[in-house]
Amino acid sequence: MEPPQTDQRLLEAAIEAHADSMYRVAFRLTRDRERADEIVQETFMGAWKGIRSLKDPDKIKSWLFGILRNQFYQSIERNKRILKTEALQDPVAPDSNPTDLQEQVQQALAELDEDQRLPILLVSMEGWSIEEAAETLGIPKGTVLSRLHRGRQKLKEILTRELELKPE
Amino acid sequence: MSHEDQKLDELLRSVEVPSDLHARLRAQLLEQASTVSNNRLQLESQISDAVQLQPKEKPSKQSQNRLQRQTWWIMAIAASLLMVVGGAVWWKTNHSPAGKIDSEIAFMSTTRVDPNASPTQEAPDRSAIEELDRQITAQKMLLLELERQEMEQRIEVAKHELVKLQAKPQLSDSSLTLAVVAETALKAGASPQVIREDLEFVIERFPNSAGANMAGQILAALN
Repeated sequence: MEPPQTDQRLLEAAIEAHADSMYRVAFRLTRDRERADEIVQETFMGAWKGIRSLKDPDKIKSWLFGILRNQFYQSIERNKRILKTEALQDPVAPDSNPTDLQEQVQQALAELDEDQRLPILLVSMEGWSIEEAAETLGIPKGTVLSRLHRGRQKLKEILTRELELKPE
Repeated sequence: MSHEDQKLDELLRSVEVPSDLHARLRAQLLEQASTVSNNRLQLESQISDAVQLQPKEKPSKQSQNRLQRQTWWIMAIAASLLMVVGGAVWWKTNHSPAGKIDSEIAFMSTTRVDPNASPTQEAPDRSAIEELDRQITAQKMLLLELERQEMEQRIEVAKHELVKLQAKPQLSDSSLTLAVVAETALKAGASPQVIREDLEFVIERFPNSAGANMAGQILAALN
């Protein structure tokens, strides 16, 4: 069913407020701009279709990121099938020596556990509050904090040399 | 938050966002809304058309065939009944003796109708009519037989008269001879018109003769 004009305006406002953040998270999760773009678009399409299920418009940010996370998991499943096919056809070895700092960050993030990566992305990268991250991820605030702490420690261990090499 | 943490956050945050991301997302939403709106209008139009057309919907092919079969059977039965009834009426009117009697009785009843008779008068008894018909038929046959016998007698008389007349002296008068022959023919049952012509021929051809005199007498008798 078509959302009413108020819902349409709500989503347009959400694009202005949260689309950049969603894209960054999607990019950090996927390490691929094209896939990140696709996930953000699918997230807003899902939001458009399910806007009626949003009971509290003030919580649209966490609601949107919940959709984004689901879209990401779905894209992983799709990507697994594609990668399996591609690996059979043309196997490519991963880059074991990335030179670009951003590439190193991406690789470090990829080394984190899944439950650590999302709190890092939402809280450290996007500046979410612990409460918002806990609500979006569906876990207690203490769990968010502990995962965040462990994730940061691991990232720092991976990127220490790079961070030391490029001081402020 | 430590310096390392701040650096890490900045590093994480340093992702270039496509400049047209917002525009593309807004366009996507508008396109989706437009598509859904068009689909809805199309569906509403189709539903409206369907609702309007529903009363005028043609019967299905199956029901049409069934209707045609029913109509055909009804027409066939009606035609058969019409033929049977028509044939029976025609037979009764033209062939059945009872029908003839009925017709005659009907004719008689119309020609000799009693002005005081009730229109609900009862029809004559069927057996009495059949008996009457048999009697009439027998009388007709008897009359025909009598007529045939009379004709045979007349022919015999004519032949006998001719033989006798041939010996009479009046035969020298041809006009008289012709008149006698005509009279004989008349007695034998010839057509009166033929006799009349012969007699007129005698009067015209042999005027003031004995034959013409006799022919005049016969003509007067005929007229």
